[in-house]
Amino acid sequence: MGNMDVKPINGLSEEIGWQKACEMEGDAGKKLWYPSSAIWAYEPETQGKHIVCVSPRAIERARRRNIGATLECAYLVPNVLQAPRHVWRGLRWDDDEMFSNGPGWLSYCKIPTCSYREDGTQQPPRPNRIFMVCVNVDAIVYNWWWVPCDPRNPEYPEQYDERFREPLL
Amino acid sequence: MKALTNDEFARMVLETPSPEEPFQPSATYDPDGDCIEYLIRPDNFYAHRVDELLTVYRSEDTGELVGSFIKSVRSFWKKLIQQHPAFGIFYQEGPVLLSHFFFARLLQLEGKPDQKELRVVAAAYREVITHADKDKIELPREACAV
Repeated sequence: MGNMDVKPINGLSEEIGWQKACEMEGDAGKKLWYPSSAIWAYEPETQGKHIVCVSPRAIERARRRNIGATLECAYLVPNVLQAPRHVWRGLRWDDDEMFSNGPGWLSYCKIPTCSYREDGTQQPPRPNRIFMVCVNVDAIVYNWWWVPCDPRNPEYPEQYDERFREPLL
Repeated sequence: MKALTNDEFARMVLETPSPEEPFQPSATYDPDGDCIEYLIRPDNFYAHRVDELLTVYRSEDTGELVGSFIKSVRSFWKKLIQQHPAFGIFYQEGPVLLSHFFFARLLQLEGKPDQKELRVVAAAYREVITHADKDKIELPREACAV
């Protein structure tokens, strides 16, 4: 890993460190953004792209686990967000979302071309699994994981027809 | 706001400092997802949804429980305190144990004793409660703010 510094975003100073990366903006100050972890994602409504921010706490959780989980965050999360196989908006089960009356959270999924062992070794994608990335209503990526595939449709996660509300892709 | 390139993003993630201390079971709260992740072991896992709140992590190698993910934490806690104010009083001073949180959720599950689905869900809760109790995991305070 090189010692490259990430350029300050949008005129923010280099003093903005990891913990200070949060910036309040938009919607009367209710939205939390993390400019230092902003990346492009496929926008299913317009079939264009939009910016999402990856939660620093979610990145820290991956770092706590192992180097393989960190590499998944670094490479698979952007890959699935930018070229997903399926995207859904909203979840069907009660209490599934904080903002169940809102537009709904986005769930991206795909079988990527690789996965990583705990020690960081690259390997083929995990058999019978699909990689999911979850984005909340504020366009913050708060979680990602491998889930079992639907036995009938391997490019879908299990229980997809029960769990997700509106297929967008 | 500008987006990072994928290379910049990857570098930023890989340069995020790793925890200095050795891995220990713990629970972390993320307000962006209103969720708690409870990690028992740092193994690779697959996530299996149990119910609206609970997802369990199972080791890809052994199938053993290695963690769990709980959604809608604050909204669940808020409803719980409204329904059972004594809970709120009980926890005003001291920490909330994760096993108690799971147990409170277990008490709200509906169904009949011979119902297969209920038995499966209850067994999953039993497993996470056993681990959280053994590890004496406390909920982060911000997760229980109402």
